[in-house]
Amino acid sequence: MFTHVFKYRLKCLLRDKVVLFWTILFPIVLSTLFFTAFSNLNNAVSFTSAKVAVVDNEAYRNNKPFQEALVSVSEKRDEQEPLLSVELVSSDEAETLLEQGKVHGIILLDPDIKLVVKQSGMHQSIIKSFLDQYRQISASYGTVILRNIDIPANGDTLTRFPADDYLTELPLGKNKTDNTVTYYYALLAMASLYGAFWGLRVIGEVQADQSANGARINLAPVHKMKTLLAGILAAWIIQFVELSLLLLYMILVLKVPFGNQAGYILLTCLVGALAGLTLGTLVSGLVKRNLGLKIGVLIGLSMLMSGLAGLYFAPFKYIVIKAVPMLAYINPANLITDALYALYYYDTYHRFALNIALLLAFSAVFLLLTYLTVRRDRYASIPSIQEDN
Amino acid sequence: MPVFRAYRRIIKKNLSQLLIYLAVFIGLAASLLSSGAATPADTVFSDAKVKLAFVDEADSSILTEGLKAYLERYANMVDVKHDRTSLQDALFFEDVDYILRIPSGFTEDFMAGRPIELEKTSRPASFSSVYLDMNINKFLNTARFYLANIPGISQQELVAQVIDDLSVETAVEIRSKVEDINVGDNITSFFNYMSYVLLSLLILGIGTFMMVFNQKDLRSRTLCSSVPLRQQNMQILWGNLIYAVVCWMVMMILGFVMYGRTMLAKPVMLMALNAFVFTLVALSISFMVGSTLNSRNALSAVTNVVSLGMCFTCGVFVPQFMLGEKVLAFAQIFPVYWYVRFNNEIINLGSIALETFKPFLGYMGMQLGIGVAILAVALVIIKQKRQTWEA
Repeated sequence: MFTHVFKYRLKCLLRDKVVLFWTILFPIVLSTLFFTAFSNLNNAVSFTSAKVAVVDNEAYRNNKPFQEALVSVSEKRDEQEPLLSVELVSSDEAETLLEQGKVHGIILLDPDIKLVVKQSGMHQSIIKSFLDQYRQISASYGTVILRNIDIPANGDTLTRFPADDYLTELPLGKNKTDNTVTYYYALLAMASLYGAFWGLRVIGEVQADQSANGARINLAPVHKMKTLLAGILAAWIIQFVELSLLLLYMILVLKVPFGNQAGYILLTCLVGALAGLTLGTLVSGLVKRNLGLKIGVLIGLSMLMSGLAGLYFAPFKYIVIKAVPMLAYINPANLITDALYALYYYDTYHRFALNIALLLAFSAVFLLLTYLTVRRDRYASIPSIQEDN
Repeated sequence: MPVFRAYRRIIKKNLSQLLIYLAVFIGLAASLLSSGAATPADTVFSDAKVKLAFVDEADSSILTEGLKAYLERYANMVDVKHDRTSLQDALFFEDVDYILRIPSGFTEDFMAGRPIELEKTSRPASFSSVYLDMNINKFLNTARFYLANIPGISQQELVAQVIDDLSVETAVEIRSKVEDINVGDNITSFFNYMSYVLLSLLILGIGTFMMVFNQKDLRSRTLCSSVPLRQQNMQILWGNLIYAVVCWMVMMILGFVMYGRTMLAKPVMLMALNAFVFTLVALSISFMVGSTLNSRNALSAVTNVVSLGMCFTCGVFVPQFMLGEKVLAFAQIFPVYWYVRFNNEIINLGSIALETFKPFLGYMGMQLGIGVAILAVALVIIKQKRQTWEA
């Protein structure tokens, strides 16, 4: 009997084109849009050489050390862009280049070194740091020579000014930081929460006062909990398959990095699907009758939750965790996003396990509350049944 | 004006749904773009600053304190808990750009001239990484230079000397015109975001109305009423126009609430004009959507896909300069692209003369052209629909 009911629940749900659109097609469209918009985003913070125009005048031509210094920073160093990209031009040309925004600054020897820019900024600061350094080194030589009056003035016996690199890069996470992945994770969380619409249908169809189907099903000599469980199971399977398809699309077509633990990621989808679904059954059980209101509450909740998990602005997830940690732990969308993030970035599984455990706990609570709200409903008369239009 | 009255009633009935979009926009605008007052253009040069977490694992010494004080010129110190997870999170979500870790025993090793290594974590090959590397190395190299050449120099003297040398600065001249008022990127973003809300509000509102009026039976009934068809169409047109203008006005009022007098700056007023042009284009898009669809569920799906789709590819949510070339080339078929381009460029326009304003007229022209084309398609669809009914 259970398999029979289950089979027909599955068939009914799969014919609901509207819910199918919102739970699978819409997330796929949205992820594609994210992809088009974010494809270039990570390059935007990458270092590019600061472009400078050096005025080719008498003072510059006579200043050999400065020329050498310029050459040394405009050469490509192991795979990295050179610090500066230098153009040697006349004074007028330099002004035009700056005016047109083709260079970030002009270096002018007059005879002191001077920097001309249009505004403050990263590139401009890099040029200035280079020029500062050039002048500072001369100052340091000056001081040392003054302090050692007994050595020859040309400084030959001095230890040369070192040009060492003292810094070693130490990666913190398992994979490189990539803020854009948060958007895709939050999107997957949103899609999971949209599973609530399945939950809404499942409840609507076993409650006699919510749909004509519900009224008919209540007449059948099958235990209500059996029908309900069959419905929930069918919805869970559909939602899990949908999330997996979305995930496949993101990984294979959009090449979103999810890390390499397919099993754990699928587990997140499975649990996330359950959490979304049970949220839907709960809301549907609590909000009686009015279908429009149910949908409104669910849309509002899922927008709010995924927003707090970083769907609209990724750093928002971080801000919430820092400011109101409690809010982050009771938000299912954030738990899903955070589980995926922990898999991608952390080298331990503590945080992942905590997220999954909390999601399971929430699902259990939602399910229990649903049971308490829909059990033992008896209907003396059903004046009117609202059909969904 | 029976048609017009019906129009008002339909909009009123759907007000709650429309208000959701408005509320989302206000929420977004208020949280992301809050500080938007005009600031004068740069007149003094200031060094760029990087968000730095300075983790001193040794007990602080005069040397490390000196380094820290010196770095404050190039960095804003961010206070993050020093445990691994907090640091990881802070870096991932861009709360810090650079984490510098001073290992224990650093000062002793450095003063003794032994090789040392500092650990840093940053986004590899980013600006902040290159910039701070350069300045940290500068400090340490200068200190090394003194240690090697003045034997027996004390830590205190060393730091004082290094800081003294490093305070030598290059003269910077800023070329900016006095009349350049920096209206701020925020107000541009505000106007750019507006295209999303206007599209959603118009497609949803006008779409709902058109759908009700185009129901076959209802349409047949109104067609055989005593109000001539021409007048009916005129009333529908007026209803749509007034609804669109009201939406535009709501946005402008919101602008005044958020930005005050800045809304009256010349480039901003031009943006408002641009927004008005865009409203008309959105109107024709909505008209087309409303006359092709006949289910409410399909309408909310189309509203979301059309508005989000255009806004993502045209640089509303992510600025145009960050989008790929191919995306931008494709986006030119959408009016939103020209609308956003107008807003982004008008802010940099120094003086507004006929010559410099020409490209902007072009951007508005593109929008209107696309709008007219869509309207033409919509009219053909409506006519075909009626003919199939009549047949």
